Amino acid sequence: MKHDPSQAVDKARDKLLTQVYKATDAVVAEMDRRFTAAVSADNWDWPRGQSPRDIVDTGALRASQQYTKHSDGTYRFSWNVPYAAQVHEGGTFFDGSEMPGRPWTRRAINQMREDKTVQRIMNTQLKKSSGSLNPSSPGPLPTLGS
Amino acid sequence: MATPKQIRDILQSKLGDLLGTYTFSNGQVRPALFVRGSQQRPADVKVAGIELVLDETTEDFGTVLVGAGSAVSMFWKLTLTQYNRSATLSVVKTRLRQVFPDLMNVVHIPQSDSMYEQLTCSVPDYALYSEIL
Repeated sequence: MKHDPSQAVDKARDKLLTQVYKATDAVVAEMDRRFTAAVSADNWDWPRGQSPRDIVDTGALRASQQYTKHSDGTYRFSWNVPYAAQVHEGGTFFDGSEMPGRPWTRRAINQMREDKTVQRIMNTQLKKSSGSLNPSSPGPLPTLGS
Repeated sequence: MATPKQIRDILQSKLGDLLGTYTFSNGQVRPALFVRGSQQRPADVKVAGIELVLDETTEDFGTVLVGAGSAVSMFWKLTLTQYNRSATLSVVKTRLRQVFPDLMNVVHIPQSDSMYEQLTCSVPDYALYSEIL
């Protein structure tokens, strides 16, 4: 029986890609959770009344959070209430008073960067395909950040 | 890395003709360009036209590859507010794009029924962008 090494490589590549897609889905799900947590966290400075506090008044902003996956493999998070950008970036009212920005997406992403969330998820997922890249010489894949 | 004053001077020279004015309580009139951080804008200042606020501290968005492999991780946050409710920020937005081609995190918020039009964005630390000097 003739052995075709290219088939083995293709199979290993497909398996690796599957794990990468799964890892990406896991990262996005974690981002979804972190964004919600950042909106709900009682640690945002606020110039009037209780401070620090969360970013929840009616709950509509938090409830509007959604993400979509596009055909090119990218994901897009959105908050579909008309004032979302103003809450995130802050702004100036006509009477001159200011609303401070509360950039919950940046805070969540910075936290994920600090605790290496993406790296951890990717490593966990990629280890599942360990040994499949080269069937004749199985071994662990290199880990991200090592 | 640049200093806030260096960034302020660049903004003044490149955008100064589009900016509005601050009128202080003593009658003094100055360009509406402010470095926010250790100092705050006095509450009794009257603002007309476009105000440009530069945050004194930089933002760190991690390493970004630009150009031929340079790495930039520090960005300066700008906030532009149009206090003239019958005008827009479109001209200054175009100028910003020309001066800072690598503008990031651009968020444009149109005027609402209670708030002025606003544009926030981040520009890379100019130390790696000598062509704009």
